[in-house]
Amino acid sequence: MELIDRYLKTVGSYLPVAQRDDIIKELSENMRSEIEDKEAELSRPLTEAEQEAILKKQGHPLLVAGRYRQDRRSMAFGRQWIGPVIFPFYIKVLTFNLGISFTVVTMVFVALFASGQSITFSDVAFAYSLQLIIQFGIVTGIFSLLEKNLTKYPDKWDPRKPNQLKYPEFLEAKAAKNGRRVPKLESISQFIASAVFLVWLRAAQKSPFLIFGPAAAIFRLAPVWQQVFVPSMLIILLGMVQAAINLLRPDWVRFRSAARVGIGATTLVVVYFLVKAREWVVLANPAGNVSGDHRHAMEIVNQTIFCSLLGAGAIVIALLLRDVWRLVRTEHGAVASRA
Amino acid sequence: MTFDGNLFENLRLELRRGSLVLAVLTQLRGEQYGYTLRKSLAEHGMEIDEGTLYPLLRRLESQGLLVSEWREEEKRNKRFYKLSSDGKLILKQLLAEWKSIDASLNGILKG
Repeated sequence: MELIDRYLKTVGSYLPVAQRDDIIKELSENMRSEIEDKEAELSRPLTEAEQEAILKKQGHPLLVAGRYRQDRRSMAFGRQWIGPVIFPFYIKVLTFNLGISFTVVTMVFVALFASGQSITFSDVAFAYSLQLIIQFGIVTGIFSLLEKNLTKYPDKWDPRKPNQLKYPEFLEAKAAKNGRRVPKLESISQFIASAVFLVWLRAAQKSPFLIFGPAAAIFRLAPVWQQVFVPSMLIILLGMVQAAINLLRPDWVRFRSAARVGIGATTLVVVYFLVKAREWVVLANPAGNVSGDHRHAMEIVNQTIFCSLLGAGAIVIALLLRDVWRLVRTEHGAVASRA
Repeated sequence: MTFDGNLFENLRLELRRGSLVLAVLTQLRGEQYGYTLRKSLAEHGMEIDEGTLYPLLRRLESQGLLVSEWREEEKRNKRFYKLSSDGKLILKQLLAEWKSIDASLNGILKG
């Protein structure tokens, strides 16, 4: 029954915590009844291959778990691009990425408006639409590929393949005992959101229009952003590596906390350097004929960025403290369970 | 699979979807748990895979059409489902609708 238990644990890792135990208990009973029936029919225990056939018939753990979700929303244009199984995670990633890019655009427009610059409706509509198209395009593209892979090859999984199902039994037992696992779909969402943000950051570095919109003719990013660009990319990459590792090893809860403490501390250093710079946006053509309005707008943008950086610093510190606390708590839990 | 094959498969699934709910509700006039329900449906020629039936039972329960309880049988805890009072009412209406559709279709087929 080892294969069955592993399968059920994997299905469970994709289910919402509130329903997990109940669904797994019921699924387990139904599967065991089927196995008992077949064993009675054959008058012998099922071989591993026969057990595998039963699991294959149940379906990929992700699809099985997805069918139990109450949220049946999906995205379809002609055909279904993103099904109900991964739709909630798609929405989460899209909202997160759009939230960040819309905040940046809003900041720029608020500053321009406050400084008395004339902003037309088409400027605003164009800037937001551009962000929407970029984020929607990339995130939808990635998730629809994931969906295509799931629906095109529903049987392309192996119950015995270590990376998909098999975890060392002692780790499973410990994780189950402590009730702690990193949800796999949280890791997948984190990985995709970071990857899209990485692409956006790189594109924004090359084309300031992505950040400033029509104001790109007036402003450009100050040199300090160039200095923190590589460390920022590395921080995002580290987050992706952590998500990828936790996807393969959901039981490494302490690793996640430790990695996030490291990432949070590094982010804090980057924020500190940024705050120290005191100038984050400069005029695109300072030597030219620059109006007083543009200088005033630049000061307002810089003031807004200063406040945002302080806010970001406070959030990073709060998250850092939360992860340190989690790390200490899990360390105490591990010591107690060893004792 | 050809385009025609795909089209047929989609239409067939659409046709079956509503009938499955009717079959499940009818079968649950008597109490059953997931696996025995699947078996009894299959015995009546209504094959339904686990991945469809078990989540469907929960959905019907959340809609108030079924009630369930965990109970021990043969030394194991199983979740038994049966029609709720609302479920009985809905089933009666659905069966009447089904019979009406069946009569209409037969009439159309006979020309």
